[in-house]
Amino acid sequence: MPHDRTGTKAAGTRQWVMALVAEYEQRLTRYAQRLTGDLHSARDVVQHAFLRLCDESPTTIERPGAWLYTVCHRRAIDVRRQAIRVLPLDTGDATSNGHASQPVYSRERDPRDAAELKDAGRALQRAVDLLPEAQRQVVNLWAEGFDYRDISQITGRGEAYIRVLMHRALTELRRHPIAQQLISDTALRNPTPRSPTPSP
Amino acid sequence: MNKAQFTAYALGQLSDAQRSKVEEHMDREETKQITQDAARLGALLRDARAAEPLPERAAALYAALDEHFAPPAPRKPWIHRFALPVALAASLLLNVVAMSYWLSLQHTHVAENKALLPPGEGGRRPDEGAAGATLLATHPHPSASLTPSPEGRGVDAAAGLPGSAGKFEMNPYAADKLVRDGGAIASAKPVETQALNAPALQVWNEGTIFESYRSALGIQGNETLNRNGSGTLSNPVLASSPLPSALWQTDDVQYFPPGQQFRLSREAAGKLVRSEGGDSRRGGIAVVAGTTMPAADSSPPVKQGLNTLTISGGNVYSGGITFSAPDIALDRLGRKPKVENFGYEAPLTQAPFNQPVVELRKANAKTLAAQGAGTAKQFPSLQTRTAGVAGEPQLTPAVSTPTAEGQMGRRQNTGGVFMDAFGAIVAPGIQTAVPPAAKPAIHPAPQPQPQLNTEAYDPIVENPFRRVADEPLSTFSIDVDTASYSNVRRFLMAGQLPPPGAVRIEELVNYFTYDYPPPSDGRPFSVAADVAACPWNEKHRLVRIGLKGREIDRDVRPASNLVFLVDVSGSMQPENKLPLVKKSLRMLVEQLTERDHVAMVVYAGSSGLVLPSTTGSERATLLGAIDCLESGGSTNGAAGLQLAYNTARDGFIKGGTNRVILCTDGDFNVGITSQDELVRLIETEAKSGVFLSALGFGMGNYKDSTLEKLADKGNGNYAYIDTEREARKVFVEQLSGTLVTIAKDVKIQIEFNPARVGAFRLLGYENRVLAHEDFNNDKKDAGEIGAGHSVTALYELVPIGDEAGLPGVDPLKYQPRPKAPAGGDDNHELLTVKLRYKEPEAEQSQLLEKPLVDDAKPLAQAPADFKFATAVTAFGMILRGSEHRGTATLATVAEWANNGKGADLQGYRAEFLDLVARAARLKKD
Repeated sequence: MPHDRTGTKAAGTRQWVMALVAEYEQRLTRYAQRLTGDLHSARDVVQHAFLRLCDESPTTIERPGAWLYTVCHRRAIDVRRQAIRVLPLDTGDATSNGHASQPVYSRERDPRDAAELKDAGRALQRAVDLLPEAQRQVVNLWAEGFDYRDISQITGRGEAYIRVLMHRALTELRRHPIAQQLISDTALRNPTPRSPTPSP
Repeated sequence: MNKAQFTAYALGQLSDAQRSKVEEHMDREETKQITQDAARLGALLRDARAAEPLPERAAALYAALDEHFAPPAPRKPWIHRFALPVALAASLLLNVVAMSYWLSLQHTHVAENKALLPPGEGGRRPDEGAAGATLLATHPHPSASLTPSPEGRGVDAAAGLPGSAGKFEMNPYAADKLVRDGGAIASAKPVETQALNAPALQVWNEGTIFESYRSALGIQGNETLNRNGSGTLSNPVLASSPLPSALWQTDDVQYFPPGQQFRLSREAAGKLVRSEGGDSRRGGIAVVAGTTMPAADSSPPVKQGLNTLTISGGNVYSGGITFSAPDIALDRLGRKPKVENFGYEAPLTQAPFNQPVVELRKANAKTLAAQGAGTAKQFPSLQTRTAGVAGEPQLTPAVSTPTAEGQMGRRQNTGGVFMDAFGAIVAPGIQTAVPPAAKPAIHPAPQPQPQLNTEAYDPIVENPFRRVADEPLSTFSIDVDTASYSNVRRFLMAGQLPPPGAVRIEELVNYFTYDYPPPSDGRPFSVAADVAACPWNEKHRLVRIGLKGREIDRDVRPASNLVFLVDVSGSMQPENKLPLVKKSLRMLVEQLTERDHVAMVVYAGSSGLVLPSTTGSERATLLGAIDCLESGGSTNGAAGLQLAYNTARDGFIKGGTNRVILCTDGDFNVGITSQDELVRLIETEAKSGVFLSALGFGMGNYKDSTLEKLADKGNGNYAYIDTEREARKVFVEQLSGTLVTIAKDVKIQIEFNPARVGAFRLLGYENRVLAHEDFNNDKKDAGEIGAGHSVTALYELVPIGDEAGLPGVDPLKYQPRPKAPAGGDDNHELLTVKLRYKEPEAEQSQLLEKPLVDDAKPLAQAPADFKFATAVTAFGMILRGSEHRGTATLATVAEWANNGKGADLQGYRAEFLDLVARAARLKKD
């Protein structure tokens, strides 16, 4: 309803939304792309989330970061469900970064890939991509910087279940040679457990 | 010790108390190793993510947001406002005229089919032939596309000369060739060029359009494509060429062997599709008033085609064609086809040769948008498109440019399809082989396919006005359910208008508590009635009948024997289902005392008693059992229901509340799913004194109709719980109402005074209407009222003398004239309310009567509650699209509700106002 968007309230909302766009747009796109496997859908998902955000206000949303991820998560799952019968299309120029032209979460194991992936982070992500869907989601959200409570809200799963999923995921990851190497590389650093991480 | 705790500990996700517990185990080397590794991995994951490159920002998002926040557009000058309808009307007219002309030509050509060319004005003949060739050439019809070999093309080109031989074999390459081999077709070329260079608007000239149709018909009349039954060309050269031409990979026209599916698509402007489908990009409306013709100077004439007629307003009708041929997958430009631009998908079966009817499936725009690129992937196909790409934010009324996307321009040649305003497609090129006897019929597009949604709502047929002279009685059962309101709220909060079947007016009205006087005469409830002017029809009067149940103090609430029957099937997993069930049950448990007994039965594929009857004071046990609920499996509602009833009967408390509380999304997908069988089971059990309350949760496959029926038959109540707040309302604020039934089988019968009332209409209660004779039949089941519940029913009355316009029967011949009412004309009574109810365990009903006199009050003097109930009713009528809503609009609803808001201590009425605003926003979009 355009007429009630005028005035200071609308200006405030706009400022708030634009600040959140600046902060989250790219990360959300990347996250949605992981879920949908394609950048176009990811952008649609993100746009949907921000347009829904426009109908809210700072008073109705406590933690906009988690809220945005929640909306994106659900939307992306919906999008993927709808596309489930669909043959993958080569997205070619569809992605801005070259390596993501295929679904981000390809589950094929290819030892050559591991050898080629020199970048440690990418290698680790590759290992994450081999995890079962539920665990992968949880790990990805953890990597985005969320704590268990937020992950629970975003995925719509109970916190206890998140705890179990995260445990299983890390146990599985630890078996991966790349992860083992990375862990021993960083073993020299201070390994004490972190204090609870603030949500982004 | 749970290993997951160690991981959580390592990641810093435990509370202090939990941490110290874990630390007790930290002396073991293995545990230490696990936590250290987990901590490192956790940190590594985050570091890796932080180092990962981010995708670029999307300009489309900023554009969409800018548009969202843009100030309202100034009112357009009148010419802009009318340009669209006028253009649409003009194009419709044109199409109709052209069509009828074409159809009549069809007939003519039946007679003339021996002639080589249709009669024309001498010099124009080659012109027609060439234009026809262009049309055919540019139209990749399967027949025309029978993959000519280079030699075949040569033959075609030769044969394709207008007026050469009796056969006029033509394909796109023949046309190319025609033009390229200038010498051979010198006669055709100038005319062709002329046609192609014609300014776009010239197409509006009827003559030009006719010419184009005629050209197509010229071919037709010549029996150009002589096919055998299977649609292959009889030309031996063509028929024997097994492969596409050498050009097939590079040209925009795809050639398929006969038998492939053939699809036509309509590009729909993105705005409508996207904004409706919840899809996000908000482009402007593409308004293309005019005809599209590729500008002749943008590419060689060969590439042009007189083919695209784009008539649009919000929707772009275009000659975009999609061929489906799974074995020729390809977007050769490496582009992802954007199917969300296509509002229409029209499968033309391969029969177009002998099937003149071109049916167009009008795909539900929403579904399509939602499927998004999915459809494209499903049919890897070449997409031909025209301009007016929906993603473009604004196209002012103008001739659209053909090459929206560089090379795509070439593809437009393949249009050649005209679409009339009914959504049917007229493709001249396609019908070249229509058997002369068969007259092409054009069917209107079939209904859009409904969006896939498994929520179930029974349709509601509104109560009509009834003449008091024909039927002075109105009988119905009360309904204290409130589920419809929370369900409607859920829809509106999610940015959707509720389906009309989900809006039950009485449940909206009864969601709110009204300030009726409590009973003072020892009866279980009081009856109030008042009347005021009807706000949506100033001639009518509105009667409100209010029941208020006796309040029962929480402390003297009778002991309860509750059995929770919890659906733990897989569908209950989302956060707003099982987890919300758990929260709700926890709230309820907090309210229970040691006199109460609680048991819990779960059901999924199988069912089981997870908590035997336990007293309410053993809170830890109860809460523990609730926490253990996990979802998984399918749903066998009936088996669980039986078990729950057995459990409830085992712990039956005489004089107390014995109740099964069903928590589900209503999707019984295993076992007895027949509502009848479930209802029979529940009715039998209700007689034994165990009542059933149904609590609906969730969305998506929510079965509103099932649950309402179950609770109705089970002498219970039905609530839809969408939020924790709603759970609090049902289980804490109105707990005694939920649990304690103070009267059952409450029926209301109103007798109207025919001297005062011309006609009446009961607002809502559509599925609660009873036969008049059932009012005194104590065997007939009716609604229950709980402690503290209030029930409101509204009648809209038409005063005597004003009912003339209403449907009724003719005056009866043999029946006595309506007698003057008992009190003569001095009787000012408008109506009498009669009420029957039973005490919860009684079998005999008791009667209450209360007359009502109309004091001619205007609405302004009515109590605030009256105004508010009026507003809620009007809101329901608007959401349902009722024909009786009169002058009510969402704006007036908001105004009335505001006037009747009162103190609104709990904020429910403020929330209603918010819903009205949301609905107004949605209606506008």
